[in-house]
Amino acid sequence: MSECITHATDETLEALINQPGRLVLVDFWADWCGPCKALAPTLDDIAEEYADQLLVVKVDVVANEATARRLSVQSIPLLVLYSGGLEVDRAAGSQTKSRLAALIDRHLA
Amino acid sequence: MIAFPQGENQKATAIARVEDAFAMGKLPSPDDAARVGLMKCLTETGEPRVIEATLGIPGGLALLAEEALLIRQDDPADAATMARDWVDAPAIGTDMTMVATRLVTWLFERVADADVLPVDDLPRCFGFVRDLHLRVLRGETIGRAEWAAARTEALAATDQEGDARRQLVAKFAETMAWPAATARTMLIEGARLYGSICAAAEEGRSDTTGDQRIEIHRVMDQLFTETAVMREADPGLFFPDLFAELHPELSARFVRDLDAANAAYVGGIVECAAHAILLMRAAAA
Repeated sequence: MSECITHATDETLEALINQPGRLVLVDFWADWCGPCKALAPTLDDIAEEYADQLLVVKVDVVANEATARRLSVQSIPLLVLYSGGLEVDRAAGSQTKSRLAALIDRHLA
Repeated sequence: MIAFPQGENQKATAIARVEDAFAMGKLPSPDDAARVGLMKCLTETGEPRVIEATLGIPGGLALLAEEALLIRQDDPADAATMARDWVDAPAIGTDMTMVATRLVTWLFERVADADVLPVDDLPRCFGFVRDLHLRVLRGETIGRAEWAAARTEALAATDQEGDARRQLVAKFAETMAWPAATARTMLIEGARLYGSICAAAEEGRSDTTGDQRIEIHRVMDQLFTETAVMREADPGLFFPDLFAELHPELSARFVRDLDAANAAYVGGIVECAAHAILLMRAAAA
């Protein structure tokens, strides 16, 4: 996994999301989820490509059930984009790098 | 990016790791805890960037090889030969920097080949993105803004395209609008789309007409709805068997076309991986 990606837990996610003026992309995943694993290299690419503009955070929904429940995570992989602590976009299912970049670019402009 | 920067021992060790893993039945599945994928077999973490940093082989090529091996896992001897060829292909000390870009431009040629996907004219974004890669091959440096502009045009073309075949080509262009040297996942995403394009082309070669296809899906949907209660009561009931029993001609046609499309998809990805091996070998020349 890229060094630009941070792992979060029920206890640490809020602080990571609530960074004023910074975009944070949260990837909800699980070890048993094949599509989540397939998406992982794309997220590594994105984390490195946007290292100075975006924080990529991974949350294991099995180990962090409370967060998954609170944020209505009903299917994985699920990517949720936060800006200044507020959810601004989300994308469910597999994404190509170009589609994911387009989603991020919309909120960087 | 120089292949096997530590010399002969490093390459011999990499080949031995792959051969041993196959001999012990540990390759090529990364989904099973007791087994490993090609990248995990070659490095401790199995990450594409680590493959680049330690072996000097582009990570995108490693991701592509890993997928092709997974596809071939039902033929372990074939997969073992492919994996060994992949590790053996880069000559020690060869600069591998441009191999991924060469593979990308080859993919563009394949998609543009009328035998692969007969479309009357290629979307404008296809040529736009292909030209950026050709300029990289000529030694030009393309800035981030130019890649982003190409991507934006291709994304819009995909969303606006009404014809499914042309949309696939636009989607291919949108996916490939990144610099090949650093976008490690682009090759595998592009190879999957190439596989889908090959499958669509195969569908076009079938003697099944559009009306027949619509009829097959209509009958299948109707049967699926009508048998909902029956299927719930008997979880062992296999819907494809039911469809084959009640509509043998439609089922046979559907299965034949599906098998052909699946084979074309797999063939496309394996073809990409095989060509990557050729390009890695050729890089030494």
